[in-house]
Amino acid sequence: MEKGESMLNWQRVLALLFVAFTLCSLTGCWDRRELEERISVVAIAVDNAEQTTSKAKYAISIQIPIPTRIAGGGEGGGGEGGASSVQVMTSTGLSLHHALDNLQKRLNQELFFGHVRILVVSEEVAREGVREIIDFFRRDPQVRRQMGFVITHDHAKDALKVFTNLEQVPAVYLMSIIESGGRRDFLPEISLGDFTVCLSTPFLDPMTYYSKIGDSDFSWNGLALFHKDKLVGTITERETWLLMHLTNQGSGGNILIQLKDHEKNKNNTLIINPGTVKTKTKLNVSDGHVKARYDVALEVDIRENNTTYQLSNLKQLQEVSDLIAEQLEREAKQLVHKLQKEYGVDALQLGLKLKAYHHKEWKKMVWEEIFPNAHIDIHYDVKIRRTGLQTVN
Amino acid sequence: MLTKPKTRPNHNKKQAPESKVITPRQSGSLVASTLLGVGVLTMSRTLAETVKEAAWLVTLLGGLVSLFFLLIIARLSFRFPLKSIASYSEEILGFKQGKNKQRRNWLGKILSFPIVLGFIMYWVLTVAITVRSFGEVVVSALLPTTPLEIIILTMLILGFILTCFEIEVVARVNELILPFIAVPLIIITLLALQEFKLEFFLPLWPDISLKDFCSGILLGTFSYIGYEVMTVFGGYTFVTKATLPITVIAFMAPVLIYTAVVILSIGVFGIYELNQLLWPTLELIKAIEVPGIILQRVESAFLAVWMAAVFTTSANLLYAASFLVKKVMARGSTFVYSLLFLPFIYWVSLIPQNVFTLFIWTEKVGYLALIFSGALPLFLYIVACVRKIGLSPAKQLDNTEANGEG
Repeated sequence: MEKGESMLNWQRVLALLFVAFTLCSLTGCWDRRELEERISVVAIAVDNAEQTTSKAKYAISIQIPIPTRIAGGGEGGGGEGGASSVQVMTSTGLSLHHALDNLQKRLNQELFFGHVRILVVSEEVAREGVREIIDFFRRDPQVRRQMGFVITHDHAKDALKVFTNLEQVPAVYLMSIIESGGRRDFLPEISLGDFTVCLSTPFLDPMTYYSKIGDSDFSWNGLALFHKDKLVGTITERETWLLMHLTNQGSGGNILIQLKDHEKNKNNTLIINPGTVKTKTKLNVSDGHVKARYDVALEVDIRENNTTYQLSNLKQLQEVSDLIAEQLEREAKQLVHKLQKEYGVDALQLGLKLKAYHHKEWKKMVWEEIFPNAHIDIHYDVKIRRTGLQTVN
Repeated sequence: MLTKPKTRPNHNKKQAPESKVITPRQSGSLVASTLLGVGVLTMSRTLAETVKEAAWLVTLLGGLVSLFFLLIIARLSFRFPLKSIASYSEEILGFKQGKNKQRRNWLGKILSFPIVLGFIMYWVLTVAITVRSFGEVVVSALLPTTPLEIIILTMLILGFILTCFEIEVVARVNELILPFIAVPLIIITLLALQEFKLEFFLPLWPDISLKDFCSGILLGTFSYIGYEVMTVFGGYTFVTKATLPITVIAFMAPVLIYTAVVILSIGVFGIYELNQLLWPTLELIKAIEVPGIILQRVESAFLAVWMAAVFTTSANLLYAASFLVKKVMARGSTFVYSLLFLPFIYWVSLIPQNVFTLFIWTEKVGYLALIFSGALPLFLYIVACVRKIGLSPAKQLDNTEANGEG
C-alpha cells in the first residue's frame, strides 16, 4: 500500500543497519556451553573428613555419569551398568564449596551443578549441623529446589556407590526410590526446598529421609529429625507412617500388626494396607497451655491374615479393627512422647497450626518450650474396607 | 469498517500528533503492561518484611490506592481531552485563556516546566532502575557469564527502537505483548497452587502495628509504578466515562495477578523463608513441579517471557519521557531525545554497586512515584477544579458520543 511513502529512505537505511547489527550480535549465546564441555554432577555426598588428613572439615564425593557409557541403549559395552557408567570422586575441604573447588583442580572440564538430583549427608555431619552445607545449594541459581536430601546412617559416600542393575546411574536410582515412594504415599514427600523452608522458619523443625546403606543396596529407613540445623534423632519407617497419618500427609506403607491368637496364646501377624487417611486436628489454647486432639480416620485393606480371626464374621471383623486402632493409637502416642520428651522436635508441625489459627496466643509463647509439655491426644478410628478375595479366615 | 472514523489515525505527518487516537483497549493494555514489570519479582519479599502475612492485603490495598490516583489522572483527561500533561499543566497553572484572545501563556510555561522536567527525570530514573533490576536477575539466575552491561544495553536499544515509531505503534505493541506477559503469570499462580499451604498463609491479620500496616500499603503502591504514563498516552485516547471501565479493568487485572502471586508466595514459602529469597517469584516458579519431565527449568522459560514485561515497562517509560521533551521543546522527534537519554540511563543504571543498593534505590524511586503519579496529578486536578479550567463535567459527557466511533 502506502508503505513506501510513509517510510522515508533514511529510515529504511536505519532499519537495515539495525537488522545487520542484530544479525551480527545475536548469532549465538554468550553463555553457550556444549554438553561435553562440562561435567554434570548428579549426586553429592558429604562426610566428615578423617582427622588424620590435614585440617579439612568435610570430605565431599560427587557422582558423575559418563555419557558415552550410558547412551546407546546399553546393549553393548555400557550394558553392564554399574561401576563403569559413573565415576565417583572425593575431595576434602574446609567447606562444601572449598572441597568442590579442590576437586575442580583434578578435572578437565567445568563442574556443573544444574543436574544434581540428590544430596547425601552422613549422620555424623548432620549432628553437627547442615546449615553450612545447604548454604551453597541456596545460593546457586542452577540448583533445583526439588532435589532430594537424604541422611545416611553410614558413610554418605557409600550411597554413591550403590550399583544395581535396575538403573545405570545410582543417583537416579536413589532419587527414584524417593520420588516413586512419595507418589504412592509410601514415604512423605520432602525436597531440599521443603527442608530449607523449615530451616528458615524459627518455629518449624526440619526433617528429611534417613537411610541405611548395605553392601550393595540402599534402603529407606524412616526420617531424620532436626532441631534448627542439627540432627537430633531419627524415627523408623513405621513411625514415619504414623506421623504421616497424624499430619495428613498420606496413608503410608503397609503396617504389620501382631494379634494374640485365641487358642495358642501366641502372636500372629496381620498386614494392613492403609487406604485413605483423614485426620482432624483440634487445637485448644488457654493461658499458654496447648491441648491438641488428633482424630485419625483410617480406611484399611487386609493384605495378609495369619490370625485365627474370621474376617467374614462381622463381629470378629469389628474386633480386629478395634484391635488395630488400639495398637496404632498406642504406637502413635509413643511416637508423640518420643518427639516431645526425647527429641523436643515438633515434627507434627503443631507450631505452624498455632501460628495460623491461634495467632495472638502463639505470639505470646516460646513454642520450643511449650511443645514438650503440650497435651496431645490421639484417637484412631479404623475401618476395614476390603479383606481380599478369600472368605475363610 | 468501510468508512474510517474521523478520529482514526491517519498518516499525515503535518497533523498535530495529539489528534491521533489509540483505542481504549490499547490504552488499557498500555497501562497494564507498563505496570507489570520488575516489581513482581521482589514485592512479596519486601512486603512480607514489613507486614508479614498481611502482605497480600497490602498488595490489594496498595493497588486500590494506586487506582484512586489513576482515576485522578483519568479525570484530568476528561477535562482536557486529547491533551497530555505537558499541555494541561501549562493551562492549569498559567493564565486563564480568554475566549478569543490568544495571550502568550508564559506563566504557565514557567510554572509547568519543573513539573514536566520532574516527570521526565523520574521516568528516566525508573527506566534505569528497571533495566538494572532486569540485568541483575538475568545475570544472577539465567546467564551468569554474560556481562551485565550487555544485557542492559540490549534492553535499552530495544526501547530506543520503539521510540523511533509513532505512538500508535507503541500502543499496538503493548496490546500484542500483554497476553504473553499476563498469561504465564496466571499459569504460574495456578501451578503453584499445588504447593500452597494454608497454614503458611494464615493468619489473615497478623499482629502488626497500624504504622507498619500503613507503610506496607505505601510499599504496596510502589509495585504499581508505571500507570502514570496515562498522563502522556491519555493525550491520544478519549478517556471518558464510557471508556473508564476498560481502564479500570486494565489496571485491576495486574493488581489481582500481583495479589495472587503474593498470596501464593506466602502460602508456599511462609514469610520467614520468603525473607531469605532474593527473587521470591523466581523461586516460586522453581518450587513448581510441572507434571512430566519435559519442562524442568520453568524459570528460564518464565524469564524469557518476562523479558517482554520489562521491555514494555522500560520502553513505554522511555517513550513517555522523550515525548514530554518533544512537547516542551515543541520540535524534534522522540527518538532523537531518547537517544540523548540512553547514555544517561546507562550510566545511572550502573551506579548501584550491588543488588542491595539497587533495592534501596528502588524504594526511593517508589517514593518519587508517589509524588509524580499520586500527589502531582491530584494537585493539578484540584487546581483545575478550583480555577474551573478545562471542560466542565457537563461538557465532558459530550465526549462519550464522540468516542463511540473510536
